[in-house]
Amino acid sequence: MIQAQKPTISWVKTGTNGGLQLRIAYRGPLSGPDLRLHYGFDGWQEPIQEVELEQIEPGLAMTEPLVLANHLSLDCVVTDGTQWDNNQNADYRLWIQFDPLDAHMHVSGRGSGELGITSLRTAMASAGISHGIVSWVDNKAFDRINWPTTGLFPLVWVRPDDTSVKEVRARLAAGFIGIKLHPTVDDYRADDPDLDPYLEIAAEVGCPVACHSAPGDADPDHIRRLAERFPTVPVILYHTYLGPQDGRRRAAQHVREQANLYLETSWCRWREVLLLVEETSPERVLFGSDASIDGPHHYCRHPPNVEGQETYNEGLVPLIGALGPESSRRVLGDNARRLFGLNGNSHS
Amino acid sequence: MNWYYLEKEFYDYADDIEGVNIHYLWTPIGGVADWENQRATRFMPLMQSSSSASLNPSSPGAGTTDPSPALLRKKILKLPQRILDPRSGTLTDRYLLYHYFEVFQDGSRHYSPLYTEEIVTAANSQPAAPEAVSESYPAPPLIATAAYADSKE
Repeated sequence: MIQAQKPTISWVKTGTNGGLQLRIAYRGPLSGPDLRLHYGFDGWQEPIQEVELEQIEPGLAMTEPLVLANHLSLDCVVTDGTQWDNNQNADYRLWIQFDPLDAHMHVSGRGSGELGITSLRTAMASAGISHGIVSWVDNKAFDRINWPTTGLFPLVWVRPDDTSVKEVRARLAAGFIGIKLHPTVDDYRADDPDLDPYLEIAAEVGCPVACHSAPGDADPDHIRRLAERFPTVPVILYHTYLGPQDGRRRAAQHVREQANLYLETSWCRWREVLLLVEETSPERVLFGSDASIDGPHHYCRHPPNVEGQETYNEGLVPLIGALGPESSRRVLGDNARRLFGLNGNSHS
Repeated sequence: MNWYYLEKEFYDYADDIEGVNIHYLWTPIGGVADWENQRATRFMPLMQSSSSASLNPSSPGAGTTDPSPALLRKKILKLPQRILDPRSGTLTDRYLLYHYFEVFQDGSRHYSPLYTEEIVTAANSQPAAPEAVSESYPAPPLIATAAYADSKE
């Protein structure tokens, strides 16, 4: 059986007399008797604390059980007394009792650059994201990735009249979990009839279609017409309109009126995400980030990259606090897992 | 609205190129390019091996069964026949096109130099009937040889 690659920082559950205890395991490059975890909660809020990391075996150190109170996330770095492992200056994050999934990611293959899988792993560790749904403009770039070890689930990028129906069928049979459309860069309208053969496959195999939404060819009005033609296919509006506010309001209205439409939240500030949930429902909104288009610091980049005002890491803590635990679990993972047929849910 | 079609090419110069986008916009002659608000981005697909061979008869693989992927990318840009000339307040068929390529290679993003060229669609001299070509039934592309020359890498 293929095992997923162990993350550098992860939770370890231990139980005593029915009580759940959570420790942190470290599998990074540092080791030695002075190994310590330097951490804070909910976005490095004070007080910052340190705890010893005891070497359990070569390559594995572990803390004592931590007191987590009612916090949402733990942010941390590791030191051996002289050096620091801070995840390439992006730090590490873990969510407490909660395992988010990012419904909109990109990876160009195994390359070493900022769009390669190593960069994406760094970004994911900085945000406490263990799983994600990925696509790339050229499906062939995915051919050399061993998906089961990555925590990533690929979409088939469809370009009408260029991507063959045979290729789409083959990739979906081989483990790809849905279809990606980008009407803007691929120069067609989102309700183009040439898309119908691909949507028919999606309806047949029961997979969702994720469609870039933005002004012009990828307008939500066009995407709605596509969704109306294939009412059994979940259609996700990536970005919930990458443009002025009025487009987002129209997108939300379409979701209220068309049962197979869903919203995805990349590049939306957290208050906008909250508004989208209020305008539709917690079952119809999926968290996504477009990681790691901005490289290994995608979730924590400064200057901030979400509308130039906030980072994903800054916005997620207040968003989860405002949504509450049940809605958060739906928006940040369970909706995507349900639509794409992935096992499990966001409860860790 | 009918359009002026201009084909751009890009040759992959390495095996590990993972995608190429072309970014472009147009301005009146003497205008300033506003990439923030007027940028258009299009993916440049690789041509199929067979069509690549026929397009490039000097290629060693032309006319033979060549299993290696084609290295030629093409995209037809849809440009306006006329734009507003702010100096005269009238429509003009002469304007500037700016473009550059975004190349994804081995997980990294690289950019080509910025190219600028003058476009002359000759729309002002065309009779009325040919201008009625509809957007949904595109006219054959008008090939600008200068564009070919400056877009090859």
